[in-house]
Amino acid sequence: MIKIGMIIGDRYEILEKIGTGGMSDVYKAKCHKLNRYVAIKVLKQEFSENTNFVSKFRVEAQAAAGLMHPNIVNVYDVGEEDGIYYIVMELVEGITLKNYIEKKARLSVKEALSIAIQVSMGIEAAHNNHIIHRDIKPQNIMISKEGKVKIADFGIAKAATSNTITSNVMGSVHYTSPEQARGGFSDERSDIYSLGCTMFEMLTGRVPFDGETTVAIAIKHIQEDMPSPREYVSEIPVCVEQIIFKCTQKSPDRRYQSMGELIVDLKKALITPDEDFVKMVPFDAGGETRTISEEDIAEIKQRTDRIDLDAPMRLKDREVRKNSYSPKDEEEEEKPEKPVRQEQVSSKYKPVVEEEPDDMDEEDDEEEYEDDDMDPKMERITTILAIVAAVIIGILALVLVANALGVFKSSPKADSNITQDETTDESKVKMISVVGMNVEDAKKALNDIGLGTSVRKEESDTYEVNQVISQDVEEGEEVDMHSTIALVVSSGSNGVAVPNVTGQEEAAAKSTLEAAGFKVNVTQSSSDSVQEGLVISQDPTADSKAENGATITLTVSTGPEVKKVKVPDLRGMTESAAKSKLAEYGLNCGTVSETYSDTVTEGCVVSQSYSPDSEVDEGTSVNIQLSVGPEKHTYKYVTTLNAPSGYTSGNVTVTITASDGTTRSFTASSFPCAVNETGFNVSSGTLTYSYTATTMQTVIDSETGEETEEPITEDVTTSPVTVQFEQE
Amino acid sequence: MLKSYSETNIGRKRQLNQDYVFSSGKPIGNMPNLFIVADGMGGHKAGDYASRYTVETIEREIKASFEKNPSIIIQKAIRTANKEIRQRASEDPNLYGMGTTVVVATVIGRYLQVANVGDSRLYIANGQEIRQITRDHSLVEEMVRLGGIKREEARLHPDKNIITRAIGAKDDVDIDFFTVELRPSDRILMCSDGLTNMVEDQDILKVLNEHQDDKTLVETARALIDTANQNGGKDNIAVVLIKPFADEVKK
Repeated sequence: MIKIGMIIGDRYEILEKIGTGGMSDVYKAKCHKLNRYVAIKVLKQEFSENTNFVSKFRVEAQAAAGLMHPNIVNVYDVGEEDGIYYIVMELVEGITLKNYIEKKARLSVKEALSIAIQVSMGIEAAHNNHIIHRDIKPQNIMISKEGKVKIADFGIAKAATSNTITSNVMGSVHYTSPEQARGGFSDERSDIYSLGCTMFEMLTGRVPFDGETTVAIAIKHIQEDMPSPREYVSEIPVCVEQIIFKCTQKSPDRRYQSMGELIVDLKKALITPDEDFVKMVPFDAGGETRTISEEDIAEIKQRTDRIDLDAPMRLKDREVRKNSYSPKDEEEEEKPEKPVRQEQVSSKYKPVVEEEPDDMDEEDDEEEYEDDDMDPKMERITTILAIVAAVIIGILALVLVANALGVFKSSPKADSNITQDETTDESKVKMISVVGMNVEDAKKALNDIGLGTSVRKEESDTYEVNQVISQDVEEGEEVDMHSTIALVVSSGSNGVAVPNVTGQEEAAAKSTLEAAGFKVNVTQSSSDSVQEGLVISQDPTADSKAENGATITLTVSTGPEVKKVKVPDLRGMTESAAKSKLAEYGLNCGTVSETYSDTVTEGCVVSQSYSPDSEVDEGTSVNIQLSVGPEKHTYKYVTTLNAPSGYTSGNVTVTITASDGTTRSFTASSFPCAVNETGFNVSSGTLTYSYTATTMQTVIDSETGEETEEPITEDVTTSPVTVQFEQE
Repeated sequence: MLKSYSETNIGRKRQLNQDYVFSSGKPIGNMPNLFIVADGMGGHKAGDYASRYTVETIEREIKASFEKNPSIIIQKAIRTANKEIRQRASEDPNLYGMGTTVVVATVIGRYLQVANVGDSRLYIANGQEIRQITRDHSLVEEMVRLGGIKREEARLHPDKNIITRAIGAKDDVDIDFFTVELRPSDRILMCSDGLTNMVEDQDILKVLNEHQDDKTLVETARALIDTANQNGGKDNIAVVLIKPFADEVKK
């Protein structure tokens, strides 16, 4: 259990609880090594007990720890201590986007777009590292006090658990994509859907789909059309609404295919809100042509209109003759490779669903009927789709090849900022940053993008010899190809600035100084104000200059002058009694762990890390072990039941009911009957068995007076007898 | 004569067994017999506390009831258990958020009376078929019922673990009741999702068919548990097997 004041990982002091979620609690903590505040997300106990989940959680968190981006709540560290799993993250002081929207009722178009762009950039950085969030929602987006937008919980938000949870503790499904609601394959485009829902909420102050139950909402995501945000807020520009529609298409193939594409449109919407630039994907590449409805036909009509084929218009008309199709269609239709093309379409992404008419479901029947009905038309529609698909695949292939050859992008480093619409003039290049690089590396990097260099040396305290201090063209500016960039390069310095190490731990201070080229001499002194082990003062003082190799004398605190105290006997006390006892003696309670004990009552102290009456420094942490009761053993019951009187033959059914309710029952064919039941969790239970008893009874025939002996059988069940099990 | 066997198994991945079963072929209060399966949830010790406490409360309440109608007896017992679980959870922070599923069953003459909350299940099987009597109160199952997704999609849905009803989840609990007429060859299986998530219905039937003779209820139950563990044993497994008319079939 995490407690306030506890130190985990030898460096994080838990300060306060700042939040709680379905799977974890979040604490504010102080990292004593780096002297900064952090947020620590601690996995709840019920999930840490699930080994499957924990390993998944760790892998995902480690992947997220590799992500560094200004729009992502950065993950610093992942750890485990005494079965407590935690993630150390950047502490963002601020509120969630959810609260922010609630406060303002709804956001202006400009503000919503600007937030959406920042969120998109964060998501894009993650997607570039193949990390999918899977739970983008306003609750996971933080607005810091400085107004920065940061996405939390990358990689860990939806680490799948098999633990049973109730739907009322489950996270929101208001932003979940149809493929996630279905439980199907989810990818980067699922994040795009969720971001679309988030944008809807920013602009209208309401979620797109609402309902009484989780189930109802999830189904709406699958089945219902996205409502129009402009119906709620008429001043939303058409293009912004279209961006939302494109993000929230039911089929992932019809959404934006990457965050990059979305960012381009978001930026355009910010600059030219009145233009119509959002390109809806004009065909359904998901292979979902199986169920066709009126709407679909309308949609197909629309699609084909765009590519200037009027044939589908006539599809609606059953009287239409084959020769009314354009010759192009005819030709295409007869080509045998049609199915191959369709395969190509669907192989790009996993199809969301494969419908198999397996059920005798009424609905399915209906669909099938419709299928049959549409069949002749369908053939043509799929043909047209196949042409469109082939064309688009061709374009895609071109784009991919072009990408690979670097036609669209000048340098991989600038990827996240360059968007595809910026048609960079061939003769211009975008300047990169080489500040801090070694001058040779910098020259090479600039030559690689077609720029020359000139070098001027300058003394510097902050840059090492040969490090680039500055460049005369700013990063991101466009410069003519083959122009010369003037670089200022460090020639080192005469004196080295002494870094400030006061307040740091001795080891950290030493390594900082040594890294700066100094020797270190340490003296010790007690201090009431400076914590033990931290540097009280340094000579020469910080920010003065000293020669390379000079000796810096550090005065390190040995802590306040300490009093010795005798350790009280805590054994047998409850946890809280032990803690107040320790406080009374001026001692701290260290870690509290649990152990089995046959003698000490559950919840009471079994042992302490310093024996009673030993002398320790005041303020020492005493660890205690609490009893969790006796160790669990398993028990067996072994015996042989002999035939009771009256038994002659027949089956015996033996039932053993352990005191925890576990029941074992078996049937033997006769007495004596061997019982060997193992694996009980408790040490006693009851035994009962049933059998058929036979007694002979004299029967007198009333007519003849003849006496005969007849067996009378009776089912006997013994009353339960308490039995003790043996420990295994 | 009714025969029964029950067992729980921790499975292969969990450190705690949060499943709890009760089985009595003998009368409990006004009920001729009583079988309960509960699958607890909640951190640390809360989950096993919830399932055990719920089962014990239901048993106690049924024992003490003067009602004659079995569904009323069961309904009252479950509601009391829900209230007490809520109460305990509010008193003890370690138990906060605990809950449990529960299936309660009793065989009265030719009829089986079942009550269900959550996603533990009751099946009736004979040589030919296996029928799930209870309806899971799970997100995925409800989406199938409402037509949001298909049965096939539900089978591999990652959110299968989310249930929509549980003892301890809300102040009021909705209970499903089922009454089924039994056939002589029927066997009843009650189990937690630790079995059904690991073993398909048809494979359960296969195991049951391989152990037709009613002498082997123990082996049947163990075979089911073994199969679940062989398939991964991701969760605790609870199994109650009931042969309602064991001897009659033989004659």
